[in-house]
Formats: sequence, structure tokens, C-alpha cells
Amino acid sequence: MVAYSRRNRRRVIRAASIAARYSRYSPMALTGLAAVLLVTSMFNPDMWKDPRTNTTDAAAPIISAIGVPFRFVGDAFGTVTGLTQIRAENARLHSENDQLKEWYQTAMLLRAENQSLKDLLNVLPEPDQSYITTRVIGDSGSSFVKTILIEAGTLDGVQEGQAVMGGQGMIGRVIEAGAKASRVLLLSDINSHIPVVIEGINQRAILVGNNETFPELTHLPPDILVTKGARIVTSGTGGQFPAGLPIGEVNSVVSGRVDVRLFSGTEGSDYVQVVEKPMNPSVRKSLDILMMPTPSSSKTTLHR
Amino acid sequence: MPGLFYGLSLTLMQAAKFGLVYLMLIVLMFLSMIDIPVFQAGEIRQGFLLIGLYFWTIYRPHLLPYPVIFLLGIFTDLLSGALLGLHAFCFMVLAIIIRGQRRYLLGQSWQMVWAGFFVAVTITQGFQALAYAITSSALPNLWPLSANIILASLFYPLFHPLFMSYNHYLNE
Repeated sequence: MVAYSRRNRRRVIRAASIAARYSRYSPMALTGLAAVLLVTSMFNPDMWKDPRTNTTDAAAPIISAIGVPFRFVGDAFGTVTGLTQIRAENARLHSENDQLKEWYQTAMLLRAENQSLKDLLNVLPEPDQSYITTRVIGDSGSSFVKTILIEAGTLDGVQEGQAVMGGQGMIGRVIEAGAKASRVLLLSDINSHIPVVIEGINQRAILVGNNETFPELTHLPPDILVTKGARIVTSGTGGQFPAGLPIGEVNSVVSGRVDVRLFSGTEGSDYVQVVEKPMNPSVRKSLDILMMPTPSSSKTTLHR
Repeated sequence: MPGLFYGLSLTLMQAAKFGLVYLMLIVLMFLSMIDIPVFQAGEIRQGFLLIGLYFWTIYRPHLLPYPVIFLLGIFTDLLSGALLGLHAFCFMVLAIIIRGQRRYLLGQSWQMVWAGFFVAVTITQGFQALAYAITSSALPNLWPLSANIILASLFYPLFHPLFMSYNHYLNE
């Protein structure tokens, strides 16, 4: 009986000692583990891509559900403020409509001229781009990472590298595609590098994010003259994105630094469009192949 | 037999009361990732989960053992697209510091606790800025960084009374 009691007491002491050691060393061990994960992630960001995509996929319905009341409040807020602004908006739209009618006539003339020139040169037509419209369900919640989560994944035809458009222009590209949700790296993120072309002077450059409002253009020749307001569109170099997607316009040119004001921000945009990757841009497909029906009926075609 | 049922229901009630703290933390974690259209300011949300962790580490540390804090950090990293281990590391360091200062903070007014939270946000944001400066080889812009710290700190007084009343409820 006495031996049993001693053995029992020894066990309790051993358990208490293990618990004390655990409580003393566990914070250090976990902090060390976090540091190791951080260092591996810093030097090889793709290392944890699969767990990240799977977690995002699993959590997407929860994030979407938690966001419902906020979207509802946002919509209601927008409706109330919208009512007060509707008169001014109406007047502005009337004048804009008059201008657009004039532009429409010009565009029709240019289109006819363009078509006749293409016919003369026997140019094969560019393939039409199809896109998927989807909802934004979340973002990174950090000022150091500029990403958003969208409610569409590989099951809906989303692939890594596809361009993502906001209401007025490109906002980013898909960097992780899960089955039901995907992550989009915004153009303003410091890791975003997009090949672009400056319209008018037809100069190629790279649009680089800087985690600020205005990304900047790099790889420009030193003697190039860039004017404020020049439009920036995708160049299509590398075949990642279709050429000619609108991005923004030159906001300022100060001592060689060219800042770009994006046409579309993510603020307040509930929906985005994921543009299908172009077919191999170096190979022009024949008209017969292009006329074949797309397999997915849910896709919409974007005529550019 | 009725005593057994009473005891069981009492235990379940206690479990639900304490479980709500974890639910709050999980909701705060998800809230920090949802674009709130009314505020139009994403930076404010960065402190949401940190507010919960900071408060409960001071007032109910037994509810937040280190492995739970570590897991919350890892999930935040996975869901937000941040560098894996970044939030986990920041939360662990903060938890160690806060637990060390717990007795002091418990005896202070809520304004002093708020000031402590300001320090906690500054440490977190500062470390994150450093990590991203290393990965991108570019110095972070100090102005938005300071604005984030101030905005995130300004939200603490909204959560503190709510958490404090729930903390009193847990004592009952």
C-alpha cells in the first residue's frame, strides 16, 4: 500500500515537472517555430501555397457569410446617400451622354476604317476574350499585403495568372486559385509587376506596385517624354494577359519617376471580372477555330 | 438524478460562456479580412484580432494558452495571404510581453491599458513593416504606417467596455 502510494506520488511529481517545463519552454518553442516558418516563407513564398489555398477554400463560405450583414449595411448606406446625389448625377450623365453620342459616331467611323484596312492587309482577327464575373468576399486586412479574395475558383474556370478587372480597368491578377475561392494580387502590391504600354508614344514599360495609391512605371528609357494623362494598357508581352486591357493614366512625372493613377480601385467594388488567359499570342488562330463554341456556357464574351 | 442534470447543465453553461470568448476571437479574425464598405478604411480592421488577444491575455490568460495564440496567428497568416509565421510570431512575442506585465496592467486604469495597446499595435506593425522591407528590399513609407497604428488604436475604446462587461459576466 505504502509502495503504491509512493509510486503514485512520484508519477504526480513527474507530471507536474513535465507541465512546468512545458509552460516554461512552450512559448519559446512556439515563437521559434513561428520564426522558422516566417524565414522559410520569406525566402520561398511558394512553399506554403497548398496549405494556404486549402485554408482559404475552406474558410471562403464563412468569410462570405460574415460579410453578408456588412454588405447589406453598405448597400443600404449607398442607397440613402445615392438618393441625395441622384439629381446631380442625372445632370452629369445627361451631359456625358451628349459627349458619348459624338464619340460613338467617331468610333463607328474608325471601326469601319480599321476593318477595311484589316481586310486589305488580310489580318486574322484577334480572339475574343471571355470572362467570369464574381464577388469580392474579403481582403488581406493589411497595409503590407494588397490582395483580395474572390468567390470563384478552378471549378468556375479561374486559373493562376489571369487578369482581374474592376469596373473601369484592370486591378490585379490571380495568384492562388483554390477550388471555390481565389486570391488576387492587386496592382498596388509591392510584388506586382505588369508589362504595360503607354498609349500614344507606344512605349513599353513595367508597372510596379509600391503599396501606395499610385504604382509607378519602371524600365523606361531616360530620354522618353511621358505626358500627364497618357493612358496605360497591358502590353500582352509574355502572353500572361491579353493586350490592351485598360489600367490607368499617368498621374505625375517628377524627376524621372512616373506615377500611374489606376482607373479602378477595389474600394467599394463588390464584383470583379476574371479575364481568360489569351491563347498563345505568338500563334494567330484561324477563324474556324475561333468560331468554335466555348465549352462553358456560364462564360461571357468580352468584345474589345 | 435531478442534481446530476443540474450539474451537467451548469457545466455546459460554463463551457458555453467561456467558449464564447473563442468565438469572439474567431469572428474578430474573420472581421479583419472583410471589406467593410461603410468605413472605407481597411487599416482600422488590422487591430481587431489584436484587441481581442490583448484584452483576454491580460484579463483571462488561462483562456488563451500559447498554442491557441500560435494557431490564431497561423490561421490569420494563411487566410490573409501574409508571410506564414508573421502574425504567429508577432502574437507570440506580444503574449510573452503582456503576460510579463499582466500584474502591472491589471492594477491600472483603462486609459493606461489602452496606452499599452498602442504599444502592442506599434510593435506588431513595426515588425511587419520590417519583415516586408526585408522581403521587398524597400523601405516602408512611414506616414501610412503611423496612420495605421493610430487608426487601429482608436478602435480599442469601443471594444474594451464590451469585453469588460463580458469579463464581469464570466465571474458570476
